Amino acid sequence: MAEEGLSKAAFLEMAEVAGVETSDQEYLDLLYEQAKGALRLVSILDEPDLTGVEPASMYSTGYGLPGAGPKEG
Amino acid sequence: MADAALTQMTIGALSRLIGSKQVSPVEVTEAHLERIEAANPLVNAFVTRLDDQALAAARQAEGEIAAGGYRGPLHGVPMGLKDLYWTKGIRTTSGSTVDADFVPSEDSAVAERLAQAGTILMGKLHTVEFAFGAKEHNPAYGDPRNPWDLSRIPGGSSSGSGAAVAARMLPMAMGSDTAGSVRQPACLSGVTGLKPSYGLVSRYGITPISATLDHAGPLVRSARDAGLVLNAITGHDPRDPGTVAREAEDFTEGIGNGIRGLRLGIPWDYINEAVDPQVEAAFRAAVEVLESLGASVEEVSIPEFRYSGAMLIAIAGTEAVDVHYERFRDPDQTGEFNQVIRRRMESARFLPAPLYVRAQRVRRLLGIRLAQTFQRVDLLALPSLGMTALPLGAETVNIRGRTFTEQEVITRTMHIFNMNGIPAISVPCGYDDKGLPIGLQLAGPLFEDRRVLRAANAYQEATVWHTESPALGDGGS
Repeated sequence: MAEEGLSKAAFLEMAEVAGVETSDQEYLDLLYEQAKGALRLVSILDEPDLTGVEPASMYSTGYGLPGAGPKEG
Repeated sequence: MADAALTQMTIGALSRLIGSKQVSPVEVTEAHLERIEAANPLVNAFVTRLDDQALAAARQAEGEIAAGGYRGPLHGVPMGLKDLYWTKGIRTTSGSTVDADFVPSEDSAVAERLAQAGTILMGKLHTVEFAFGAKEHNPAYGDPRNPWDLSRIPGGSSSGSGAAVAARMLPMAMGSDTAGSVRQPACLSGVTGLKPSYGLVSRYGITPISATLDHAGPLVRSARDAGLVLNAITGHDPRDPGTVAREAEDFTEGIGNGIRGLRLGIPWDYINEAVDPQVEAAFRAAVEVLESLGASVEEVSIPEFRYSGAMLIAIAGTEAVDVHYERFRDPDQTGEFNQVIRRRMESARFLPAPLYVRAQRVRRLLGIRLAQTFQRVDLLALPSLGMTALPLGAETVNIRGRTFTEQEVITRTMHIFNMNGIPAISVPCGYDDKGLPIGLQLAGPLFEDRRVLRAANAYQEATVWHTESPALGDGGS
């Protein structure tokens, strides 16, 4: 899901749409590198099998009930 | 000359003296003001000192107690608040020049509750800008320093809180913990830091980073003190939808009952990826102490821990961008940010929205695994961090011949417990060969804060690490 690569052109387009303040070129260059790094780091979230796993936007009780979630191993 | 011995005491010891009228809150406050005067120029823990206000509050407490109006164990006890906690009429900078002139019109919920408990607010304490980092240089307000070695970081983002308690300027300070920001400075500065269960303590009036990861917690001198503070600050608050309505608990009840029969799980596979040999040795010794007190130990594996760093980027980054959404659109304000922190936050703008949801699903997966693990063991035990305090300005750390970025390791053993809001504590458990503190971390199931505190207290009753203080040119203790 996380993008493997983020082209500079796509980055600039997204920055414009997202309302990133674009007058500082040096900042934009550093932000581009940071954004690529973040995308690289989060790509690990593609790994786990999430079949049947609902989002947990905050803690919720009950997910520890016997039978919930994946088998131990 | 005030009695310097008062600055070495725990809240519990101070409260016994204050409650029995052997010592007055004014004497306690004066002793701490003298200590602040001597130590703060070295350590730079305070952004704002409130000496006059503190003395006035101490006189009021003295009068109340003399008239038979003792409020409880925190009455007359000096404390400080991370400068992220709103304080009515007192500047609250959140460590940023963006908020340099922000004077809240109301108190944060925690400040309110601590005032009701009768604490004496001594000042506002340094934080990394908007608490979005662990050690970033702060040109606006200066860098707090580690009292054990002034050339090193005290940890963060609750940097002033850790440094102030370690340097005996305060017996308690409040911090906030989104990825380890209470426990990490507690570990690196050699004090006790508790991240309570998510939902126990209202975050209302604490400048947020991440609504679903932020926790408020105390930095103190003992697990028992952490329980005393929790007693004062927990409770449902309709202004913070994250808080839960639960029956009031006494977090010190049964704290001295020991840990015979308690089952400890140690995730060695995760620990071993980045742990300094000296830290590992201190941790193993701490586990032996816990075993000698009757706990049993087994190895556990929680493979989902490895996703926690990525979840942190996706969740905390995205939620932080939302917090500062308007500011990031205003060129006048973006220029005021620490640009490293601004960049770290804004990079989350380029993460696809479905990734945020995916991170929340992985978060549940980790929660499920933790819940399953807590059916087999009562607590998890880890080194608080795999390293000791870095020199100021250091960007990398070498562990067993491998170079890590500071970002990779400085909270890796901590944010794993923010994802699902479970309680975790860091307590001192030794030093490395440079004399820098090492921490033991214990974590338990959601709302089992008392269990965590009981185990930490048992460890502290059997050891002396938490009673020691840095020399700072005056011999320490």
